[in-house]
Amino acid sequence: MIKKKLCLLGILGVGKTSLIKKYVQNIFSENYLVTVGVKVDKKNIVLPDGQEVVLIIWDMEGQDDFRNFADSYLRGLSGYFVVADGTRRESLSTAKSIALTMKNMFPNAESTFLINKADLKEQWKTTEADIIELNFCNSSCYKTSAKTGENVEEAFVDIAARMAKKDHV
Amino acid sequence: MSDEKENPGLDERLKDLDPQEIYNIKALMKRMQGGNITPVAVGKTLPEAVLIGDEGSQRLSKSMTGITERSIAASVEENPEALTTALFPIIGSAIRKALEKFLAEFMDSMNRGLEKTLSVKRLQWRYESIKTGVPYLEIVLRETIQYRVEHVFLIHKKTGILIKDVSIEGKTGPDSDMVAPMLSVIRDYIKDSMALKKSEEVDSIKAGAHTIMVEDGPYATLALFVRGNADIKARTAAQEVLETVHLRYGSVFKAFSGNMKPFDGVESLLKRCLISQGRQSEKKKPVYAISLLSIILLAFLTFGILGIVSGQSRKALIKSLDAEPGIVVVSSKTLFGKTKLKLLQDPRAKMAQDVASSVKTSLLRYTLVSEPYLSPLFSDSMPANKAVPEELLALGRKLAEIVLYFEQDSDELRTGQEGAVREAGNILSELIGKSAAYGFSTSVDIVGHAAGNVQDEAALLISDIRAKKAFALFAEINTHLVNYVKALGLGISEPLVPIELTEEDRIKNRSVTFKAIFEQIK
Ligand SMILES: Nc1nc2c(ncn2[C@@H]2O[C@H](COP(=O)(O)OP(=O)(O)OP(=O)(O)O)[C@@H](O)[C@H]2O)c(=O)[nH]1
Ligand SMILES: [Mg+2]
Repeated sequence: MIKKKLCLLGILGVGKTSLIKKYVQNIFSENYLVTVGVKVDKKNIVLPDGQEVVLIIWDMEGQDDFRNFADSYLRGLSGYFVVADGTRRESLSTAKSIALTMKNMFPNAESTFLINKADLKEQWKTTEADIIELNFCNSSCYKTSAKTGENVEEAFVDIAARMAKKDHV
Repeated sequence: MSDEKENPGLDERLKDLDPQEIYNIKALMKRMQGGNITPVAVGKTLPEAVLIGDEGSQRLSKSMTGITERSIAASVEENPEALTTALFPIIGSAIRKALEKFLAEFMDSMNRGLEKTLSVKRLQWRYESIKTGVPYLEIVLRETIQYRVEHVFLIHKKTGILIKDVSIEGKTGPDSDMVAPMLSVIRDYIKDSMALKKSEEVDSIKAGAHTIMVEDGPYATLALFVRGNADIKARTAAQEVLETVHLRYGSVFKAFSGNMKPFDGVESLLKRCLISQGRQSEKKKPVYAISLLSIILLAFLTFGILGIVSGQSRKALIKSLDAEPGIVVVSSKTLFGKTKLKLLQDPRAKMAQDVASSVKTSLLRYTLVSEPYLSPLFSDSMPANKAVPEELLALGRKLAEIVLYFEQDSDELRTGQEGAVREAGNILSELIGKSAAYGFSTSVDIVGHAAGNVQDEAALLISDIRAKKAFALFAEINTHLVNYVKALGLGISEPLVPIELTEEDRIKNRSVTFKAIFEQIK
């Protein structure tokens, strides 16, 4: 059995907490409770190849200015999600700068873009072009919905499998 | 042949011997002449030779002392770092051990004198227990336990990931995997908000009745959840364990990738931190002095006031005290109408007062000095005074030897165990039948176990259904038995193999065992 640390980053209200809650407990709530500081969750998964992984999932508070980010929260991560809200264009540009900073800080970590709230597609301000641009900074990208559960499990299992392959933290 | 040249006529002289002897002598001569001692040959025999040379008077060690000292000196001169690095973990603990030994001896000599106070205290607790109805044991625990380490976490420092945790039996709480990272977050938070220096670490956090004691090493952090106020002993234990963890798992930590497998077995180390400390150790002196004073005072007072005690009642009291299980009268001295009785008293025995009142004697005219002792008449499993007959004990032991094995994560018996089930059922029937004849009521706990090293709900559940399965099997054999057996799942708290290293160990721990409990029918 291996344990790996995964962090979720992104500005306020993009749905980091909701995504974790959906994945770990299969619960979604419309209520918005701002995360203060950090909260840790965990999920035991068995990868398709049979390997057991315990994901230690760190839910961070959303911050518009990523530069203030507490380095101690990120220390030792093996992977991270950068989450954006498809209905808010500014969340996407912040996501890009977060991703750049993270690539510098953790060149060996696995990462994935999540563009969340896919159930509100008709309200999305994000174009396919934006998404293609995102793919340049990162290896993978999912359109997710914490509400319907679309791509949530897939995104977590995919990054977990990639993290499990690495023989360092 | 060469030996013939040097020893002309040798064969002639040897011819009377038998062929084996001739061969031996020739071989010996060859070896003597050969003398071909090569470095390779020496290298092969040197370790053995050194061992042999050192046997008995250890002459070799003595002769090598000087050389060894000089070579160490040379090594220190050349590269002191190599040696200090190698010695660091040993020196640290050696110094601590020496100090500890000194302190322990010091405390011990002091305590021995004070131990008598304890017996007086114990009598007081007995009295309190009778007066208040609070169980005696509870009072003893309350009065003596100063702190108890309930949960120990070994945490990978950089990631905050929990490596392993151990806790005292029956302790449940939030998921340890989530507690461990939060703990490092909290410590970082405190450090940040108090603007502590980089080298200053938050090494203890107080929360309600608990203290979280934290020790940091280069790779790992050890956190102790302590009920009460831990003392230096707990801190030292934590430091020692952390040092040993680094010594043994240093290279594993260096290459840490989240893999938990290499840390199997570290639990036994962590368990060393699950200590508790009694309240008595430091504060004995005043209590002792006070109780001693009061005994002396009481002696004087009663001596002054009391008249002559009737020899008759004194004899009756001594006789009945002596007859009481767990009480031994060592000596009795009567001076000026005051009798001093020296007793050995098992804490589980009846109070001397009760014995006295049963023979209608007031203890006012007596001074009782009792020393605590453990009477063999009491066994822990049996509160009653009568010993359990050997025949029953033998059956109980036989039953305890039976183990039923189960499939992984299942209440399915592994194949080929029908015989064991039947045997357990037979012993059980015999035990219950024979118990009644001896005036004992016997019950049997069917104890379910689980493999693994985390006492979580799953472990408890699986052990519970295993115990229930065994229970059902007995019911099938003999419905009568179900009134005497009880199924209970203990999870991993009483495993057959405490430290699982191999799959075989795990197989052993997926099991059910039996525990007979004997109770005298009153
Ligand atoms: N419709 C829809 N709403 C969502 C989705 N994900 C999150 N929300 C809502 O968005 C709001 C914010 O969600 P959170 O999960 O708390 O966002 P967060 O990123 O954790 O926010 P901070 O912790 O403050 O940074 C809540 O009201 C959620 O119900 C989604 O996929 N679809
Ligand atoms: Mg949140």
